[in-house]
This record gives sequence, C-alpha cells and structure tokens, in this order.
Amino acid sequence: MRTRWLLIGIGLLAAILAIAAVACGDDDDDDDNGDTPANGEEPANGAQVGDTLGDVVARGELVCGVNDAVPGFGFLEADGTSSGFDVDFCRALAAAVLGDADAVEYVILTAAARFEALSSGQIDVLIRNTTWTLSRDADLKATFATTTFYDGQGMMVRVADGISSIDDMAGTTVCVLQGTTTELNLADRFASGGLDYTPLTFEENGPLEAAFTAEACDGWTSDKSQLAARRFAYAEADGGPESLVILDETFSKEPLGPVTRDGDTQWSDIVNWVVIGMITADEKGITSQNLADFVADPGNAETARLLGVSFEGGEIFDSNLGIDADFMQDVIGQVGNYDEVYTKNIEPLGIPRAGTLNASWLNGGLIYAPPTR
Amino acid sequence: MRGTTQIKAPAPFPRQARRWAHDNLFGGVANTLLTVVTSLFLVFALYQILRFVFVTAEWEVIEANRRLFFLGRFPVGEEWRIWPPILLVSALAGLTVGLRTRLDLRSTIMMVLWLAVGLTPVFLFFAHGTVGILTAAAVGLAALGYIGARIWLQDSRYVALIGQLVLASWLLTFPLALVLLVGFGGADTSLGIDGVDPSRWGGFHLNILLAVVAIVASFPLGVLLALGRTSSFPVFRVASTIYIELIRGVPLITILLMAWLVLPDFLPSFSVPVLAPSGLDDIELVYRVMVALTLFSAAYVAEIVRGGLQAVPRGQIEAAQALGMSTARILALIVLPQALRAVIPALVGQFISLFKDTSLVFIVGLTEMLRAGRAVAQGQIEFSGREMEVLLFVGLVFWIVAFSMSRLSQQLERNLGVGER
Repeated sequence: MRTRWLLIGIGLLAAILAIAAVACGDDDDDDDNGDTPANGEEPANGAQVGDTLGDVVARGELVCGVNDAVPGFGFLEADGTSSGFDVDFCRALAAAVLGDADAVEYVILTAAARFEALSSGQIDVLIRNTTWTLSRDADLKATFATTTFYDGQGMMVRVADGISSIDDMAGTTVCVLQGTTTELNLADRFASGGLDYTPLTFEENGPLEAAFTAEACDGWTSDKSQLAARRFAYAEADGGPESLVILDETFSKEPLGPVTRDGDTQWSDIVNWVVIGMITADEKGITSQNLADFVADPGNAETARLLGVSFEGGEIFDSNLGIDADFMQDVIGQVGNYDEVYTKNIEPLGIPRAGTLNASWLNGGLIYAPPTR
Repeated sequence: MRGTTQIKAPAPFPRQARRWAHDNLFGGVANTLLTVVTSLFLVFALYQILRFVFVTAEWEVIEANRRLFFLGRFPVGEEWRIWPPILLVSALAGLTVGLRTRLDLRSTIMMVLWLAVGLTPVFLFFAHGTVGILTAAAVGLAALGYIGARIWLQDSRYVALIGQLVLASWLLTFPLALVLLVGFGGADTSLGIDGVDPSRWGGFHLNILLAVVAIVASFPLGVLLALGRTSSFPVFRVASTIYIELIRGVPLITILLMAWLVLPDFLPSFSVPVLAPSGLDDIELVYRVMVALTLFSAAYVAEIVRGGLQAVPRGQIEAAQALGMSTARILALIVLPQALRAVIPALVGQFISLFKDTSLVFIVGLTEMLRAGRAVAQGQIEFSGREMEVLLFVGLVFWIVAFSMSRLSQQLERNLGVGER
C-alpha cells in the first residue's frame, strides 16, 4: 500500500515538473520574441512587448481598451456601439494605421483591470480616461502619449447652501468614490485648509448620485468634466442644473491620454503623433469638411508634411513612423481634427472648449502640438 | 393542522378567520405589537415600491436600450442569427409539454392567464416591429406545438417515435445556434457561412449562452469527477480530489481573470483547425470563459453527485455483482439513476447559481446583461441616475429564468417520483 502511494506521489511530482518545464520553455520563447523587434515570428502571442504595429496590421483590426460608463468619453450607444471622446481617438488610430476608422475591436475595461490588460497584451492601446502619473509611467511600465484632455478635480454643491469656496465647507459631508485618487486629493485639500469634513464613499457613480440627490451629502467631488456632465443632466424634478454650482477651485491635475506598453517605441510614436496630428490640424484649420481643399493645395510646407502631399512639386515628406505618409488624411477625413472630436463629444455635456485648459494654446489653453517636420 | 383543531367541525367563515387571526397574529401583547409593527412596515415598503414602479420611475431607459440589454454589442444587422434557435426552442417546448402532460381544463386556463399577464408588457414595451412579429411567432409556435401534440400526437401510434424525434431536435438546437453564430467551414469556401466575432456577443443572449454551455458541459464532467472521487483506484481518487478541492477553494472571479490574462501564456501556439486557427494561445476570450465556468461548476456538481452516490445502499451493488453484472452496467443501470434522481434539487440549485454567476463575466470585459445595464445608467447622459430602473429590470429578467428553472425541476421531480419513496 505504501509503495503505491509513493509511486503516485512521484508521478504527480513528475507531472508538475513537466508542466513547469513547459511553462519555462514558453518564457524563453517570449524573451526571444521581445528581443527581435522587427516582425517577430509569433505575432499571435500578444503577451510580449514587440511589434504591436505588425500585430495590428496582420490582424487587420486595432484592439482598443475603453470605458463603457463615462458620458461623453466612453459609453455604449443603444445599438451597442462604443462612442465618445476617447473612442474617437481609437478610431483615429485605426484610420491612421489601417486606413479604416471602423476597424476597431473595443475591449471594455474596469479601472482595476486596465493596466493588467495592457501589460498582458490583451489590448494594443488603452484610451480610457486614464490620468498620467509618475508611478503609472514608471512602475506599471506604461507609456503615455500627448494629453488629449486636461481634467481636474472639483467640487459641486447646491446653490441653496450658499457655499462659494472649499474654505466655506468646514463640517460638511462630501460624497466621493472609494479608493480613487479623488478620495486622496479630497483629504489633502481639506487637511491643508485645516477643515474637518465627513467623507461619504461609494463604489460607483450611480449610488453616489442618488445619495447626493437625496441630500445625504453637501458636496460631490469628482473630475470637473464628470461633474459638469452630471450637473447638465440633473433632473428638473430635483431642481435642474441651475440648482447646482461647480466651485471655481480645481484641486488636482488629471491629464488624460492614450497609453501604450513600454518598450515598443515605434508603436508609442505612432499613437503619439496621431494625437499631435489632430491637434496640428486644428491649429491649421483643417477639418473633415475642407480636407480635400488642403490636399489639393496645402498652402504651406508644414500642412503638406502633415497631410503627406507634395508642396509646390517638392518631395513628399516621409516621417519613417512605419505607416503611410498620408495617414493624417485618413484620420482627418474619417474622424476629424481635435476640435471636431471635442465639439462632437464634450460640448453636448455642457462643457464648451473656449476658456478651458483644453482650448488651443493660440487661445490661451494647453492644447499644443510639437512641429511636424 | 394536526391535533384538536382538525377534529372540530369547521366554523363559519368569519368566525374561522377571526379565530385564525387571534391564534396566529394577536395572541398576547407581544405578538399583537409585532403584528402591528410588521404590517405597518410591509404596507410602507409596498407603498414605496409601487410608488417607485408606477410614479417615480422613468422606464424609457429600458425601452430605449432594449437591444443593448438583450444583445449587448452584437453587430447591427446580424440579429437574424438569434431567431431560428428561439423559434425552434419555442416549438419544441410546446411539443414536449404537449406530449408529456395531460393538463386539465383548470390548469390550462391558469397557464393561458399567466401567459397573458406575462406577455402583455413584453408586447407593450419591447416587441415592436420585426421583433414583435418574431416574438409573436415564437409564442404561436409554442401554442401550436402544444395543441398539436395534445390533439393529434399524444394518442398516435407513433408517439414513441415522435418523442425520440423531439429529443433529437432538442439535442440539435444548440449546435444549430452555435453554427449560426460562429459560422461554418470558413467564409471564403463556397459552402461556408460567415460568423459573428465572439467578442461582440453580449447582453442576455450571452448570459444564456454561457449558462447553457457551462451547465451542459459541467454535468458529465462533474459525474465523472464524482465517480473518480469514490473510485477504489487511488490515481483517480487522488486526482479527482485534488481537482475538486483546488477549484472549490478559488473564487470564480480569480478563475475568470486567469482565463483572461494568464491562460494565453500557458497555452502553446500550435494551431487547431476550426477551434483556434492561429494557435491555442489565441483562443477567443468567450470560449476561455466558457471553459472556466465549466471547470468551476464541475467541481460543485461532483460533490453534489457524490452525495447521491453515497445514498445508494451498498447492498444493491453487491446484489448486482452477485448477479454477475459488470461495473459499468451496475453504474449505468443501478447506481447513477438513483443517485442522480436523489440530487435533482441540489443540482438545479447549483445550475441556477451558475446561471446568475454568468453576470460576473463583466470583469473580463464582456458586456453581459447586468454590465450593459450599468453602462447605460452611468454612461448615457440622457439616462443619468436611472440606476434603480435598470437594476429592477435586470433582476426581473434573471428572476423569470431562474424561477422557470426551479419550476421545471419540480416538474421533473414529480415525473420521476422523487420524494415519494
């Protein structure tokens, strides 16, 4: 009897070792794959840093990690399609790389799973209202592209309460999402002002809004874009948008933009320059409507370089990004420039572009494109 | 009901009611107080619920997004793939009930009434246009199947043959549904039909699909594991025990996340035609989730079935052995029929719980019904704050299916005579 058990034990051990050996063998392959940047032999296994561009082209589809529950940025339409500001940047990227803005597979990600999905190769790019921070950039091995939207944390209160700044809020109750940087920023801000307050925390926005509507808290803190959207949609039965006010003070910086994996510089550059190209097109006034005019007659050398056309008989500028020189024609033609994307998605939330951080630098905002040359 | 009260002649109704109320609700000060407080609370809660459902709630959020609830991110224009299996299932359900049961007039009327109550809101709020016609067709086919079976087939000479045909059709339903969804033989060949990208499956359709696959696949696997665990061969016993204890000790969410993020790293990249043309490590997430749910559920099914196996008296097996029956025949003809019959309630409980667990797949980015609802209430600005309506609706749909499963199992128990011994 005892020998039989011994045999079984040895057999199991051998099986485990065999499995471990196979797994290690896989790892070695992976490392090899990572070392050969140009067209790796195994594009199917996306778990490694490598040739994302090659994978996307071979697949004929961009896999984009998005949100499904943020109004204006990433949400589901009634017919099941994804829509929003972030989603339009996925579409722009697909237009640039594949020439077809619709060639996108959207993967819907929770906040907790998004970086895991990116680093494990389940998605090519993460465009899910993600704030650029030091630890994410360094620890999580993520590369952030040019910021597409400058957000910041604010506070929304009821007009009737007569609060005009955070410093009036001593002794109040504030509704906030649990375990977010928002909660930490709130604590920092009230501590620095020497104010005491009671946080009322929630897992998600739905119950939080219900509590705020039921006047369980005096203030609601979140990113200002979200507060503005919720205020804009505040039910008339509860007092309507006019009954709420968002305080002027912004007490955190939330630069949101696309994120790629560290170590694939070519792909990160492409993502970055698609965003920059859309901002440049906005600065030059090139829209999806007048694109054809600019293609026919660029008018200046930089516009010609942006659109990948010849200027006054000169040579066509090649960026060596690894995609077609005229990729911005597809982006602008199928999706639009930065301003068109903003106007389509963010203005319906009641947030005009003028006068905010997201205005062009030409109008006093922060949206600024490095030169295309 | 036992004891003295039953012997007495029944009192006239008002006095009987008063007596019942006195005995059960107002016997003593404490009981009276408890009754009053409880009924006040119940009336208040009922008032609040009714007020919400009929006054406060804004149900447009459901009507406007009904496609999202039931199909998730399924591509527009591909809905036709869903309907043939639904129509087939309706007809088969009608036929099966018609062949198996002899409903009296009273239960028939009750059933028609229930159907009318249940279907009126469906047609009022959901099933407009084509969907309405197809839903009506499904109901019509079910009724036709039932009436046809009652009138012509039940007393026909070929009733056994027809029963077998119906059973075969049931077994073919799922392959048909799957072929319509994933396509067949590759789109580029002349015979092949195109499929829908599995990452786009969603809504309640996905919940049902995952539940059906996991239930159908985990049942035989669970039975095998249970047999393994009770086997006298140590290899089978140890392997089954390790599997069961390992899986039962890990939360379902962990298994789902592993199927999503970790599994591709462990699978080799050699290709399998049809299943995974570009390598095993590239199998669609939905299929990986199906496997994860199946493996998870099988461990629980195994323990339930083991309970049933142990309930079969040892003497029966010894008697069968004495008759010279082989182990396989003993299992198939004596042990399993009794064991499985005894654990139907627990099994159905496990399957209902598995069905509800399918809403957890949102964690790996699949838009099943609950996630679709949450996304609507939070993401669509015009329906901001309509969380309560969404949750009530999703809860109702899940309840209807879970309750139907429960009733079906009770019917099965009655047919098999469980609990009559």
